Amino acid sequence: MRTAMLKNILSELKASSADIDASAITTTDGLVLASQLPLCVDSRFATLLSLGVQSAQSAARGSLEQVLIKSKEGLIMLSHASADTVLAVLAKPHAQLDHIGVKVKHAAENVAHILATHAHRH
Amino acid sequence: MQLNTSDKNLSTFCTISGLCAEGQSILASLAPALEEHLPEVTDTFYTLLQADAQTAPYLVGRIDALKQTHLAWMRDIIGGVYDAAFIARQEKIGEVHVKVHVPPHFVAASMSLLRAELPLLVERVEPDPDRAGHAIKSLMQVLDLCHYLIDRKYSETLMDNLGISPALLTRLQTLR
Repeated sequence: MRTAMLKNILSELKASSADIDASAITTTDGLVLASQLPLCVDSRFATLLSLGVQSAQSAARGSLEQVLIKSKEGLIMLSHASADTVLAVLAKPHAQLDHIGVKVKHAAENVAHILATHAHRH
Repeated sequence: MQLNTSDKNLSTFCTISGLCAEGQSILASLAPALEEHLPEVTDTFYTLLQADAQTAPYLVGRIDALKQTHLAWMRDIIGGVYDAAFIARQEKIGEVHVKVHVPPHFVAASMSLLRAELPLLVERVEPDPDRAGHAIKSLMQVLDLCHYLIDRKYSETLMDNLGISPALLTRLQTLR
């Protein structure tokens, strides 16, 4: 049930903007909770977010809000949905970051709510 | 060996390597005679480190302190007590090596030297070939154990510094 709810959030997120291609939710250990992406990329996203957290701390930038990867073919936006989950979003190369950021933040809050209210043993 | 059985990897290591009480006991009985010669090994080791361009910079201004640490570590190795405190001391070395940027190939090289030098010392102090053989076997197993513990902790500390948990590392290692 929880997986279905998480998948639903990802579907709603994709439907909320034409600039969003796909998204995934993993634990910070790289375990996939729900995904619209190929399996191989998920644990790399968790790694990048972990490195982002460490980098932000060591550079005295405070707690991490987002990791953004900008490539020729598009954007990857990584953020925490909760302390131990990652929301990864793939978007079009010229996507409006502010607009997507709002949608991602809303999705992350929904993910956190579901995870908090539907505890599940991995 | 007095193992923490909750450490499955260490338990497997010890089972396969064949560490046994008899060999450890013979090794410990030779410890007083071996100790006399350990400073020679330490001196040889640090002469080699000083002669190498990569390792020499690590020694500047602290070679005497490092020699004392190395000597104490070798005494620990031949001491015959391989309990949780011994394991913790080896792990601390791996942790410190990350902090002071001592890479694993330095450890591998120093272990290689000890695997070559220490058996010769045992043969010098133990005339009985059978007892010497058992002591050398144990000594090699303990060196391997130390090598494993130091490298394992080095890797764990490094990953921890990067924020990569053991579970995430396992998933990354199995990516296709």
